[in-house]
Amino acid sequence: MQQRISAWLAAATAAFLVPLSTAQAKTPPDTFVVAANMSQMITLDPAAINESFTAGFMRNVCDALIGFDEKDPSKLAPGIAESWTVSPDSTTYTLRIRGGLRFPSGNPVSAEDIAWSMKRNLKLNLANAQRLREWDITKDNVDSVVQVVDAQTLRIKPTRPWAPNLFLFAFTDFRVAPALDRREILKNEAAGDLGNKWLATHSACVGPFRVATWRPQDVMILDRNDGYWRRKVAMKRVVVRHVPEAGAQRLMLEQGDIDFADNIDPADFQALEKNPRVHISYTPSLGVSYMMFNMNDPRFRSPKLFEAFRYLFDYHGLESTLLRNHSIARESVVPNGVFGALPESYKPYKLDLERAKRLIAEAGYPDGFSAEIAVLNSFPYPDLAQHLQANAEKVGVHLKITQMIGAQLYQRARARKFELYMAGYGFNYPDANNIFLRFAYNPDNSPTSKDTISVAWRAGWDPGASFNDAIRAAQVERDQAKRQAIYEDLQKRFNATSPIIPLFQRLSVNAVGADVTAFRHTLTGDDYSSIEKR
Amino acid sequence: MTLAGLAALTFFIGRVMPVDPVIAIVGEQADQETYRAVRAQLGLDRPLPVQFAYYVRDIATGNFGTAIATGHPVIEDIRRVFPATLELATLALLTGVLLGVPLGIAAAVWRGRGPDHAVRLFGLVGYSVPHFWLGLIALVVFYARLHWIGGSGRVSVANVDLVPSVTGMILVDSALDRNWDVFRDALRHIAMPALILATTSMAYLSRMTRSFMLEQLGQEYVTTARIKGLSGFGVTWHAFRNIAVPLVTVVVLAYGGLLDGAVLTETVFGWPGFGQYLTSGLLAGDMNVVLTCTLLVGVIFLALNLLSDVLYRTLDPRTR
Repeated sequence: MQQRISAWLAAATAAFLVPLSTAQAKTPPDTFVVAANMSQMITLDPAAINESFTAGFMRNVCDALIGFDEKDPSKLAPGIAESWTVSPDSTTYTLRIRGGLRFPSGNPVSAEDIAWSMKRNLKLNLANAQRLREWDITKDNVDSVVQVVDAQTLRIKPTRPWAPNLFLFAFTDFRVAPALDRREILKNEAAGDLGNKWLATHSACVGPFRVATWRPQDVMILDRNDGYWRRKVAMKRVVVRHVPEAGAQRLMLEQGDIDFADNIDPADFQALEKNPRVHISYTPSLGVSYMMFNMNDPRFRSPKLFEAFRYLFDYHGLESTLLRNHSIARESVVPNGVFGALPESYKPYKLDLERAKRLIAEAGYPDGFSAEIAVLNSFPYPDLAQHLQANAEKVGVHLKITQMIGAQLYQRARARKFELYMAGYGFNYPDANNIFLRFAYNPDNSPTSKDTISVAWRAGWDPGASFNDAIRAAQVERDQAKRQAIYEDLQKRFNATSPIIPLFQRLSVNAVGADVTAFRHTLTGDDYSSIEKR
Repeated sequence: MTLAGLAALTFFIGRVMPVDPVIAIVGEQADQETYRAVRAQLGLDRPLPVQFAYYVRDIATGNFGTAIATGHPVIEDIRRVFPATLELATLALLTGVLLGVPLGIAAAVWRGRGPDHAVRLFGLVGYSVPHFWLGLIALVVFYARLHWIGGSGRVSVANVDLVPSVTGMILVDSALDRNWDVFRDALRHIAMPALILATTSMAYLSRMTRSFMLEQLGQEYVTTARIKGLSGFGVTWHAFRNIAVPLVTVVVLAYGGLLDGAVLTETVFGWPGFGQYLTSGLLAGDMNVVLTCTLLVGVIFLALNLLSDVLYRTLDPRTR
């Protein structure tokens, strides 16, 4: 009887579903279909985009003033600015804006649009205003710093004689100085918001694609910008679907329903590598994982303690197991591939419990101690924290792991309310200045400091005047070899004294369907204009 | 009164949650100047009672605020995402009723025998197995292996935006547009999430139906009917008609549960519905979204309770 009922149930399910069945799918040859978790995508306004997913995606819609060399991202290449000159004293940058460019509305691109966009960024004072302020371009001085010479010429006169190779990196991020269609945006201005609300869901830039449709947490459709200046773009359309679940993304990729899965679970890499319908490649990114002590807590002030914890990670064991194809060990604060980085062979630390125990005793804790470590709740941080917890236990340190979502964890960091902390960080451009500004520069370590963006400040670490001065000196050093030498020295000094422990450098995993024959990935994101399909 | 209490409770719980909505807007890397400016724009620098007073004033005028995640008014967003969940939940409820009620009747009729054990086991499994796991297994088997169903989302990429949105429910809109390719594609995509979402209501309805039927089948009028020679089917039908009233209440309440309980199913199947919208709002600390969605869920339950009362009175003359 029961067998009969089971058979009936199976037949009923089949009767319900079989009529719907179809052959295996294939995406159109001129359309690139992406599955991604788009939860973070909350605005398309370049002045407000605050996270790497949307920024990487929108680089396919908004070209930056200056681009990266496609073969060597530590070098610059023309972008919206086709050329530039720098005065001998490094105080005047003259940029020639590419002629003949037009926005999707048909309006021509001019130097005035770029100057307006920069001023708009500072006036709105949203997430990316600080990306200009960190170059000392403020709301008060922007009119004198950024000058329109004529329709195709922009002059920038910074307040400091920045190293030319460094200062120009500022403009490689489309969020800093985008070419925005001011006429179109001002037509859609509401209550003096400089078009912020309208641009949250529209694009008004020059790039290989333009936003045709965006329904938050549902779908984004990009249409090709015919006549794109850089190259002939093969894909007519890019469709990005919101698929929050990594397992579902993998299945869709294997079925051929999508061409690219953005969030494959690292545990699936090995299986996917064996699938002939999928190509997987790995490229380094500007994302790192790190842990830090809070030096505002008097228990955590000894450099010996920080050094001890550097010996509690099995960097290379983790790299080849848990983090295989996800991250690579990076024991310097400056990631590989970034100007100023120490060579990849720089690996001074390895798991050494005896040494760690001795250093902890020398730091004043012969019997160990107990502490809480606040950890971001996404892979790989809880696993890394457990690894640390297990090793710390062996040297007498009892760690309690508390997992938190980003909005909760970052709030704790900004408020300096943590004991130990573990999370990730994404840098903006491949120059060591960006890393040291965020992780080491901290001239005011007081609780009232305005520089709460500094991870060094969050850790309560005062690196001292010589460290801060060296960072500032590197910023104006015109000789690249000397600048490299300063950064190399700073990386070693950082490891000797900092409560911030760099752990791993994230790899960008690119899982694409077998029909995709060309797809370029860079340190800052995926280049959809490079895609070719069979 | 209920809604006012719900609004106050959700508001104050939301404000003490250790999630910072400002971080969601400005990101981890914004400096203090920007952070403070946005905090002030959101009104979060005001005392809590003042924030609540402004909130009450705004919702009284129909202003539920703007969602951080979309930049749109929350009400507009809900208008966009709610039909997707309504469609899914309605299909799940229909499936639940069409399968759950007959199973419950069968279990009662064959009490203590094979069908009863099977239905009770099914009920246990339906309650216990997480939708998240069931959804992934279903995707592997029916989507990846057998190709019986569509994958993530409401339609295939080729069919996105092909039919004009009239009701927001893709099955209805494609039928209105007489675009049967899209209708068939939408059916392929909704079938499995609806079936999985229906497992809980099927389990619940089969158990409740069994319980109601057992009570009726033990009544004297049933014994009398049997003695008089009424067929087995006739007796069952007779008893079933008498459980219609409590069953309607159960079905209506199950519908409410489906409408606000589709979160995990929507996540697995990339279904852009109300559950996903609420979860994203919650994780971003977006209190405009959380408060409005909570109020809406409250309104739905109140409306369904009212509907259940009306149906009760309609179906049972003794209560009029």
